[in-house]
Amino acid sequence: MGRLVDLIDKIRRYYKFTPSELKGFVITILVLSFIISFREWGKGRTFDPAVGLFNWFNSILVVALVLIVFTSAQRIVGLSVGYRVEYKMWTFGLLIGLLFAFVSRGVIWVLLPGGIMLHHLAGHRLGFFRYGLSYYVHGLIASAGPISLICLGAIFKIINNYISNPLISKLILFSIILAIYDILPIPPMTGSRLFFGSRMVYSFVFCTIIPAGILLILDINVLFAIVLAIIIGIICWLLYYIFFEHKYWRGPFPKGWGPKK
Amino acid sequence: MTITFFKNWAEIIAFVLLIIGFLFSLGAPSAFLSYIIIFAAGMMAGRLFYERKNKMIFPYFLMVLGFLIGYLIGTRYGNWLVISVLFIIGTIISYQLHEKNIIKDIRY
Repeated sequence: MGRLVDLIDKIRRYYKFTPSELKGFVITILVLSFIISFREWGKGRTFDPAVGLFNWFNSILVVALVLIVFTSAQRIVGLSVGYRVEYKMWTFGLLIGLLFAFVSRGVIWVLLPGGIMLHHLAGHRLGFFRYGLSYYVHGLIASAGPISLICLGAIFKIINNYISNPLISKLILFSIILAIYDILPIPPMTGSRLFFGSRMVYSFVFCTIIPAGILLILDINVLFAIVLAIIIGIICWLLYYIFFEHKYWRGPFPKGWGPKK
Repeated sequence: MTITFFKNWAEIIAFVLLIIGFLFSLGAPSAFLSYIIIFAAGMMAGRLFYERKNKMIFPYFLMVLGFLIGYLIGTRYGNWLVISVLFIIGTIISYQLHEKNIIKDIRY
């Protein structure tokens, strides 16, 4: 219970966005919503700004919800272990996304919003086993983002079974595609952070997120999709260890040198 | 009578878990999947009990029980006895794996 009270207090104190972060967040929402609504600026091949703006507004709602869930998950996980998470927009990633949208006329969504930066909350890290920053913890905190997106997609998929709505379908698709893009090892996305943090964890998360995304898009039971994705993740993780990791990882002193006993 | 979260956190979380368990079991399309999910939930409970070893454990026991009851209420496919047994087996296996250091935790 003490940890829960502590976490609630930390969320109250450190959750809020800084002005620069907020600016980046708003730009990201506008750009990503434009990318996903690119094909909806009119009926058929005729351009209609009224329809386009309406669809863009709908997309803004979808993107805002997904990004809030995404960044909230990372912030809460970060705060739970004594780090403040700051969202950093990736300008070139967004420009690449816009470029792809224009070149492919909105068929290909390239969603590269940005990454996170950690701030060490010195007082709140007291008592933790490893006091400072590390690649591993950075990767784990970042991975909360795509995992939360898959959970969001799964929840809305269940809702969509009862209340079918194009906006909900779009939200599911967007959250899944963003999760898949985010787990690719492209700096500064989550995948790169986790990859350099721990290859073993990366192999599991990567091989769970990708099948989960694909299975959630298919018309099968949500729980079955999630369980199957986790099983695929475990199998791939094991195979990765057997065929690669255990041959190449020889410990911190691979050539036999090290502290004398 | 007002219910404050900080006084009744164990009961409130147990109730929330009961609803989550209920929804999970409702969503399971077959008995096999119900069994897999409850076994995995048992593994998580075992880890939780190991974490609370030599500390106050009753509130956590209550929460885990809440989840199990919710799951049993919502079960459409599968036998409730098998589900309970699988949950307990999962808990014991996970606890023992942690106890024997086969499953280790990397603290960060």
